[in-house]
Amino acid sequence: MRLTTRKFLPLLLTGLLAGAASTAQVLLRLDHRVGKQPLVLDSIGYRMPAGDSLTISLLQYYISNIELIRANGERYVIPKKESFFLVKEQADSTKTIALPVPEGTYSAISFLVGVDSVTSTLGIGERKGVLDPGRDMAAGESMYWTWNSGYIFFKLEGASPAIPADATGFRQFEFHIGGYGGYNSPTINNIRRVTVRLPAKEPLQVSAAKKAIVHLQFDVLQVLNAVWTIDLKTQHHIMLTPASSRVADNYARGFAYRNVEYQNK
Amino acid sequence: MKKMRVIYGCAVLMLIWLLSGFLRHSPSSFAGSYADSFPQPAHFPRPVYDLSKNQYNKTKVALGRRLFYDGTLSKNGTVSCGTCHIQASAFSHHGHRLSHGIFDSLGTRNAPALQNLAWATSFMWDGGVNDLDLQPLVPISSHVEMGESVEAVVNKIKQDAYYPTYFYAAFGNREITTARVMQALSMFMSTMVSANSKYDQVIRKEGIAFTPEESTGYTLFKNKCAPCHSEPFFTDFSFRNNGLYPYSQDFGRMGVTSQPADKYRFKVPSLRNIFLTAPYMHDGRFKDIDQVLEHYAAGVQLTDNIDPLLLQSSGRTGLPLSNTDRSALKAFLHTLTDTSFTNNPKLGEVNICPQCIRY
Repeated sequence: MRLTTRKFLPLLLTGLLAGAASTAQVLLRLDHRVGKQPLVLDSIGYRMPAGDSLTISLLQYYISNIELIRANGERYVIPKKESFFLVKEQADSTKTIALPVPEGTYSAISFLVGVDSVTSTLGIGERKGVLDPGRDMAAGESMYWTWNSGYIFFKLEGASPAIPADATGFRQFEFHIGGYGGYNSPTINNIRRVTVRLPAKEPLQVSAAKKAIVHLQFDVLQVLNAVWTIDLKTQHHIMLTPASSRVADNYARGFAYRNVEYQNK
Repeated sequence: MKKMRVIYGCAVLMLIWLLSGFLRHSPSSFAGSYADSFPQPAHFPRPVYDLSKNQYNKTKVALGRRLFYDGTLSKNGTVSCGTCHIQASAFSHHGHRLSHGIFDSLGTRNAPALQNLAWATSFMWDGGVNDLDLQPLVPISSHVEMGESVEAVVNKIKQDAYYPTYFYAAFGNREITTARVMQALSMFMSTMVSANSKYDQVIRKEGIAFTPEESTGYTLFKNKCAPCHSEPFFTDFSFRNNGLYPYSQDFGRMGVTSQPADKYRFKVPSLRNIFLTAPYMHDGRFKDIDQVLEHYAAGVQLTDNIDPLLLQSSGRTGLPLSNTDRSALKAFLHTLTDTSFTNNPKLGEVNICPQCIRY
């Protein structure tokens, strides 16, 4: 009897410890690129597949509802309150996302580009931080449509000589993509879930001993042609029209895994 | 002796003046004589507005009222909510087909009346906003209305000498956020309740009755108008195409939903205080009720998504209305005018000069 207890107790303790597996911090780092080149805002050096040159002046988007997936399909869902991020090319710190993740091995990372419909209809008292609808309006970086209540999930702006000049002589494009499916009647739903798989031989190892930095890349050119071809000559301003769903399909394909970097603590 | 009496008299007057000043500026006077609880009319259902997320308190109402009438919410201080939403015309912009916003910009739609907003299921002519708390974001940030960023509004209010104290009174601490500015505004706007017109008094059986012509009008109204302008709000809050000739590329609800079935559909407006809110329709094209009735009788255009209620079995459009019908309808519509609402001192413009409201 005594022996059993002695054998059982350590087992019980280990079991408890495993149940309360400690969490470690995982950093997601988003590297923005245009084809093979790193994205530099307002740089004139990029070419589109058709050959026309391209300048990008603004790139920002929401990443939310992040999940980490184990090889057996088990999902770890980041608590909702810690799972909303606004990534802005022009603000470097926003391109690193810190996540508390239980120790273990993961084979994929999944997230929404945008804001889910429940969060899109929350009371204003619960919309804080990156979800504050009054945020960033002064700088022209707002991610909220006041006139059609809802978040803008993804913004890409730039210019190209391929675009016909507007009344003021500028040749610019603006993609502002939102649409969570509607509050009481159906509207466009441009919420997209992206799952980035890690190579089977190189899964993500989360442990308290080492800091893991997962590098993801986002390729701006994919926004123009990953699934659908968006011709800037005719489609240079896309907001809440059916074309917006094609842009959303495209940018959802723009994310890819690059590598994981481990740093000793 | 006489001199002493004058001095004594002056001192008393001075004391009275000081006391009255104190009373005028005390915290309790800031909360004012607003109702202690949400002003729920007996013959209305419970509000749609979720008061559990923004609990009623009269200090919040007082704060919201100051914000509503404060030009600080606009880019250069010249336009307040009250500029285009005037109490005397049931908080519409009487006489303005389209409103002039900041820097003399012209909007694209007629400023709607603000009344019974706590029961509204959506806002704007196209229903683009579903929560009263999110509605003020639209005019503040619109380039043709107040032209200001919400961030800048919050910062200006934070730096104001007095507002932080009002936020303390209303919310329990001095923190000023987008959410609190919006919630104070919606708290005030939710008290814009119009439920005391002659119609309401008749319905509540308060000892008055319709005249014979008003009664005839009410019967006609129930047959011809009430399917869309349903009681007690005189709107069913739906979106419909009432057959207006399309002068512009404004497709109404389709601009929000992108659904072709919503082309030319606009919110059915309330008919409460209708005689105070001219001009009419989303673009303010009709200057009086006669033109509106003429439209329904003879002007309905067969455009995409025309409302089936405006199609007669003969294939003709509109609602047949004789001259007698029109007079009776107008007599009834007059009973929807609620002067206790348009004269309610608790909803009126406040003097926002800081010295006047200090406490």
